[in-house]
Amino acid sequence: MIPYYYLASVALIVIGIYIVIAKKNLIKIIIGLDMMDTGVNLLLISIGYVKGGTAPIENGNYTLYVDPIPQALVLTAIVIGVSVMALALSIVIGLYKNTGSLELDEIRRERK
Amino acid sequence: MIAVHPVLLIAIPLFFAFLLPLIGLFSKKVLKYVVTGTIALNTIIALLVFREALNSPIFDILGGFKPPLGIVLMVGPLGGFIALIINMAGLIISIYGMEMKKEPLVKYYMLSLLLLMGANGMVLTGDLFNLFVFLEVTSIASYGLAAYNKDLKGFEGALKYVILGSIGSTFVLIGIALIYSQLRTLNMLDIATRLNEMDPYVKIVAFTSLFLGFGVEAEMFPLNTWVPETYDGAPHSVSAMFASMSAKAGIFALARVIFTIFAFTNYLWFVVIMGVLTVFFGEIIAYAQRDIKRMLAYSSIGQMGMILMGLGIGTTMAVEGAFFQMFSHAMAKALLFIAAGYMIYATQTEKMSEMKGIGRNPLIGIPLLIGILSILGMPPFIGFYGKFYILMGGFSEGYYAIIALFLAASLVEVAYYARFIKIAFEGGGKRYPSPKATVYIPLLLFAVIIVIFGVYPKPIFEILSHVTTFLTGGV
Repeated sequence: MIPYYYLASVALIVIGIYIVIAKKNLIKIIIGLDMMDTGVNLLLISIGYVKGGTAPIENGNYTLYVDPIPQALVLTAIVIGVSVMALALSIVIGLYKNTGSLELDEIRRERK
Repeated sequence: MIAVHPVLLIAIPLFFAFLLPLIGLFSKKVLKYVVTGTIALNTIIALLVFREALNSPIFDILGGFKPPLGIVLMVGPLGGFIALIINMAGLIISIYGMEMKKEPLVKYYMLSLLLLMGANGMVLTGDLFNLFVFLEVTSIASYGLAAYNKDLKGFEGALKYVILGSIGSTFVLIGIALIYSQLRTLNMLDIATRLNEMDPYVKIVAFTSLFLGFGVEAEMFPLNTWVPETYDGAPHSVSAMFASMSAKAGIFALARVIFTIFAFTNYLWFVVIMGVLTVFFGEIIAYAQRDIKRMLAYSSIGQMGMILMGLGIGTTMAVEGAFFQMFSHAMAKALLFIAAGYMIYATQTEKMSEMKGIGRNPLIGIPLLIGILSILGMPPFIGFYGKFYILMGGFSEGYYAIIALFLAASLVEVAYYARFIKIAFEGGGKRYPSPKATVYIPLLLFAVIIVIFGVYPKPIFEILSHVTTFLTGGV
């Protein structure tokens, strides 16, 4: 059986891509990007999951740990994701100041 | 014992990038000299690292953890070569960047140093996740630089780049996750040796994800719609940086995914088809362009497609050609973007049809001609060897259809560049202001490099003889 968290992460990624492709509102597109990010982070973290494992801190009481490396990777990926989102939002603010609109169609019209 | 640590190539730009705001508090005038000095220092270190890597690959262990657990920088001869190209191009472009007037200058210089640092990191690192981090550093710096002009064009290009770039990095991360889930390692060489343990289906999905992800930065066909808008909207020096630094780092990362990690050795139809599509997409749309920077951007896509084809054909000769093409494209396209920057400044328009006689000033005209002829692949310039070796590589294996397509695309390229040459050298134009030293010095430096290594390519071929080890999974 495929563990359900893999399915959930794939679903998040696919929904994110769908939003990015289908939506015309810039804020919605950025939300889609964020959902994709979240999906991949979930995929990464679930790879390191061990059933019944505790946090990977060595103190002698436990023998079963989850894999610490994916957690480190996800922490890095979250930080990167946040900075990309911040930058994307600031670019959207810039576009809004230039055109007064957040809709892609209207921005294109403005350009012509 | 390592004499020069390759990590300096990453650490120095990073250190100075965050020192710049402090320096900017005291004096804004010294900033540009600090940046050029930093990149010059970096170029010298790149040269030393490269000389050492020619003898034997350098493994620089970071943070005190032994690989495969810890992060290691691995610099082979080819990696050192590409790092040297990136730093050299960065140095020459930074001379042009001294002309930059638009505020906030501190941020411009900071981001350009960070872009250099990310591109260096992408080329040098030996760890897959580290590669992702440097990809993101490069991309974030690029997003900021692309929107630097703060006008509608700049923001639009930057937004497109952000969206495609984020999708690309998501795919890279998926690929990394899949590989890690199977092998529990992130070290590139470790992955390569244990690749057989992977489930074949997961392997294919992981390869495709990584390929598509790095394809965004390497301007591969379906993912390169950001290129024209971003290059068009960015400041001129930034367009030159994208073409010669981040695109080269992206394509080298792609080459390492193909050859070092997944150890494909023979003909890769998938990569070749993507290359052919990229070439045709780029060249044919470039033919229809009226604006100079958009034409150069599409031409850049076409050139990257040629490199991709060379990598895909996969014979030693074709891959040598692909690496030669990376070198020649980095030099010639940076030259053309700087020249385009001057031409737009002098004529106050981006339309090529209104640039009559701009090349009649020899300080602009001669480098411009050298750059264009090199891109077209004329014999005494470096562009010739790249194209010729890719062709010969395909020819020796009998892929005649691909060769025919390649040549057809090259003809289109000749057609639109010839059209531009005709306009640029036509008589009877206006009088244009003569270029400043910050414009013609970088142009001449690039032109000199193009001519010297075009007439005397032997050193480059000696470096590229290491392609054989690269293809068999070496560093």
